[in-house]
Amino acid sequence: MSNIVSFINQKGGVAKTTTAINVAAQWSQLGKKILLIDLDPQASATRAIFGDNEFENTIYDVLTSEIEAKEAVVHSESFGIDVIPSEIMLSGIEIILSSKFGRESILKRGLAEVKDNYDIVIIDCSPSLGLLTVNALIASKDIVIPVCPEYFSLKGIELILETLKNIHTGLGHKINVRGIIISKYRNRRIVEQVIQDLRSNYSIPVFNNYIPDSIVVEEAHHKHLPMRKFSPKNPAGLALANLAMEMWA
Amino acid sequence: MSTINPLFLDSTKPIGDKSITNIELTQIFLRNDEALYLEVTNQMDIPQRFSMTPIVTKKSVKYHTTILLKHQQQVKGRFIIESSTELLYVSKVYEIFSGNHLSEKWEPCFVSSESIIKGEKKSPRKSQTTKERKQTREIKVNLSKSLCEPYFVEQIKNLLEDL
Ligand SMILES: Nc1ncnc2c1ncn2[C@@H]1O[C@H](COP(=O)(O)OP(=O)(O)OP(=O)(O)O)[C@@H](O)[C@H]1O
Ligand SMILES: [Mg+2]
Repeated sequence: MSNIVSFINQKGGVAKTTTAINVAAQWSQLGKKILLIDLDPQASATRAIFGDNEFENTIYDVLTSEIEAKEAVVHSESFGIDVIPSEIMLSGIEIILSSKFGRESILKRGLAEVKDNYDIVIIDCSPSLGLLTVNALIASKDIVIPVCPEYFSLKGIELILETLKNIHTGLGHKINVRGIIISKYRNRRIVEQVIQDLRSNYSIPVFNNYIPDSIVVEEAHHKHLPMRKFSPKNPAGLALANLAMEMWA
Repeated sequence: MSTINPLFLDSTKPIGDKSITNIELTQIFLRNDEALYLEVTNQMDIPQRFSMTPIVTKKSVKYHTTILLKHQQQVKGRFIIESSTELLYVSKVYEIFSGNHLSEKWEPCFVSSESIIKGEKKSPRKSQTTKERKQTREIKVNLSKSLCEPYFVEQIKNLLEDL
């Protein structure tokens, strides 16, 4: 896994944030130094980790060049990771950035210094493919794509791959799809079907550890705890731990 | 017909033969009747004006405009504040390079006599003592002499021509 990895899917609610924060917490337990960037104006990762705390400095201020990235870093004891939080103001930022020279690499430049302090930087993207997500992609070498098999569509994957291709041809940056993460699954037979569809259409790897749907994941979310602390023995907790190991390898 | 999504256009690459050049002015507060412009003069001494628009971020207000310049072109530019009826302030002259980003703090170097009075009367932004005010005015006058003489002369010439 390279230094910066984005969790990306323009489809909402496929467990991008849940997977990102739990994998991050798991890696931290393995002794890795992790920075998580919440790049979603909904600030789901920020709220899942810190509750309703508000932050003076956020990724918004980094992207508007008001502060340096390191000034926005906050530490989470319970997750064992550093975080650059988000806020709702971020929803208006694309207009501010759109006319800038080098608008597509503002995040990359913002993270240039701070990233070397970490083993890995994780970006939790919003469910859209606008300028913010383009910034995440330009900053990343790798991406992972969480999908929810019950609502899976090949069209969605097609759109992400199309975006990667456009970024390669238009902006000269090649991104490696590290793999697809199967999350929130209920029915093993549907998972098999999805994997078959993927295999017959693409050569993208699918991670072997699928995350089952479990109410405990939601509970951990509301208690602002990683699954490894809230319920490590729960099947979803175990799957997340194994997924983190598999992703790191 | 194929359409190109602007999202995937490299903003650092020239558009045709021109490059995006961002100009930003910070630490400036305009009144309702005031407007801010960037006046750019090219090698042929032809001035062109660009309206600067406010960008309100969480921590500050900046004024911003984008101009397109030819590769490696260099122009001169200065900031101008006008009311609906008159020129109020101008800044010193800056060199602007193609494809670059100019970010400057607002600093007037020429103030019309009326606007000095207006500024002092209306400006609640800084409470200055009379002595400080006098000093500020002197500095402004000095600056206007040292930095804006060519423009000042030019303006007077233009005015006479207009008459
Ligand atoms: N394995 C799981 N079991 C049950 N619920 C889950 C699981 N994973 C995620 N969830 C829940 O599903 C919802 C959506 O998850 P999450 O916010 O991680 O998705 P997302 O892709 O980040 O959404 P968005 O696109 O809005 O950013 C949340 O309420 C989360 O708690
Ligand atoms: Mg999310």
